[in-house]
Amino acid sequence: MHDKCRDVVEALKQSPIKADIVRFFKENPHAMDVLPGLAIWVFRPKDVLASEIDDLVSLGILSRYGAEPGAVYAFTKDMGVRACIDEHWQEIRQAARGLQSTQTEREG
Amino acid sequence: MEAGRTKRQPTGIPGLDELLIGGTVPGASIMVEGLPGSGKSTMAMQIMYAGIERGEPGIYVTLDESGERIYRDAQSYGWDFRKLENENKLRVIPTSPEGLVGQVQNGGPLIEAAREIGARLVVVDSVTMLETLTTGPAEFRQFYSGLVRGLEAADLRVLMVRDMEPQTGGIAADFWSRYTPDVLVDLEMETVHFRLSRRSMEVVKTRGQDHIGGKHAFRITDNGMVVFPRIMPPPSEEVRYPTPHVPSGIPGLDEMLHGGFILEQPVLVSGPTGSGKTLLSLYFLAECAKRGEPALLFTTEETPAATIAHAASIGLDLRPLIDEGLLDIEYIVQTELSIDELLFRLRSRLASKPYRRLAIDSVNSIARMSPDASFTHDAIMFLMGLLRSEELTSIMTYEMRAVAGPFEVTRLKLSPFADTILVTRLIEINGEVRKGVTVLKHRGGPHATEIRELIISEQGLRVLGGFEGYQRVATSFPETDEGYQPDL
Repeated sequence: MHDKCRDVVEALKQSPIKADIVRFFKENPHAMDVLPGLAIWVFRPKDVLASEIDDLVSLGILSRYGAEPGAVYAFTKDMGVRACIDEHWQEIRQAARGLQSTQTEREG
Repeated sequence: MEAGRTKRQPTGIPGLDELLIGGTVPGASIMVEGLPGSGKSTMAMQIMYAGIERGEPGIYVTLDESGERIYRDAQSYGWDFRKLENENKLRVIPTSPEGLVGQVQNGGPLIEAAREIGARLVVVDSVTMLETLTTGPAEFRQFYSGLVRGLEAADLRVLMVRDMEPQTGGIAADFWSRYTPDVLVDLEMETVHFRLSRRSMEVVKTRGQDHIGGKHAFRITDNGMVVFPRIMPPPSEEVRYPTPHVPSGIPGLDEMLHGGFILEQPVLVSGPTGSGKTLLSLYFLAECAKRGEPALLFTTEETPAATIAHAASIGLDLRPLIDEGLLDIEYIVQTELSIDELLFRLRSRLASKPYRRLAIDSVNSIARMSPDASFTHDAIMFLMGLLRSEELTSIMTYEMRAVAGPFEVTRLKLSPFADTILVTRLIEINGEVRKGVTVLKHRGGPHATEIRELIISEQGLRVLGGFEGYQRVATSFPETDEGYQPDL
């Protein structure tokens, strides 16, 4: 696995929220929206989403158009990154789900 | 299209382009509105797909449904939106109202995506979501206009989907929708007889072009939406004189008609149940088919199998004619259709083969499908015009309510339209119910005036002489002439 791909996979495995955002864009590859809109699509609070999205932009998974407030986010056009995510998606989902369950138990 | 007039842009929806007299003016913005479940998104997807098939890529912006659901819904009609995306002919773009507006106002990846694929059409489904960004109808009208102008500036033709809310009377607060788009289409769905849904569409408004107004039935099929425009009667043609006659196929009846039915003119056969109307029309069709000319039975009364059995009971074998393609039976389950769709199906069927004779059994079904008497009358007028224009000799049956006694030929005011009217009767004589037929009208020619006996037996159908020795046969309860001894 290339370094960049490893970074992407690890970041997603460690964050259920990032995994959810990426899942939305995998299912809707041409979706493009502002932060409040994405919060509704992935059903997460806006303030929680903001930092996760920043990370995803830094990792090159999402592209940002314009600046906040009002920046629009879309899935990367880098097919290498997309291919990396596709290849490791099962392990990303499993890890993220596991992490989500642990967090839920703790909160319960 | 006349020289110098703008060529219309078809929507690709069967029947709708007829209502739009060829399509929309190029670049016209379209809005389709209706209650939830009325077919708005289906219509939008179908127009999108048809445009792509014509070589015009498009963008489908969805503001409340996920892309996954759009792919799934489109696929249910056989439109593979994912494949079209892979071919760079389409983009399905989920976004929010704020996301859409921001990108139209400031530019962004949506406009970029449109340019990338050379998109010509953008669908926004649905603009109702944009109302969350405004404080009232007036502001939304300006907002909407600005949005349309912004998209048009990017060389995109706009199709908006809008959810309506049930009206509770008065002018709707959202009346602005009547002003803003160039073409406005309303979709409706009503419940009929407490259980059936009937869909109708109305082109409420067009700008810069004409259209056919009023409500027209439509159906959502496995392949998308199909609209059934009301059939407009073609100009009537002059009847040729002298009028040729065609044989009815029933021994004795042609003699009553002094030669037969009038070529290419409609015949009405009216009578109570069990008086022989359907069998009379089957003989009429078989006569034509046996001479090698195709005939069509268009029936709402019996299944094809029941019709064949019914005819066979009197020695009329329809099966060989059907097998040879000389006789076709189109059976319509009337409860499922509107009048527009019924007439559309008839017209389509008539266009499929050079039929020379047609029987419609019965026209009562038209009344049953109709919301009111004036609608029925218009539908009948359209039907008559269609039959005359098709150059075939047609027969229509009508079931009278009254089994015996005083009668009304029809309750549909059909009489003026039929060139020949036969009335079949049930006549009680000495405890036996016998059948009679009379020619009430035979335009352009002489005819017998008495009621003659109609015999239906295993040997077939035939017309004998009059009810000699009886008076007041038309009442169904005749009296013997004075001194007449009936042969018991």
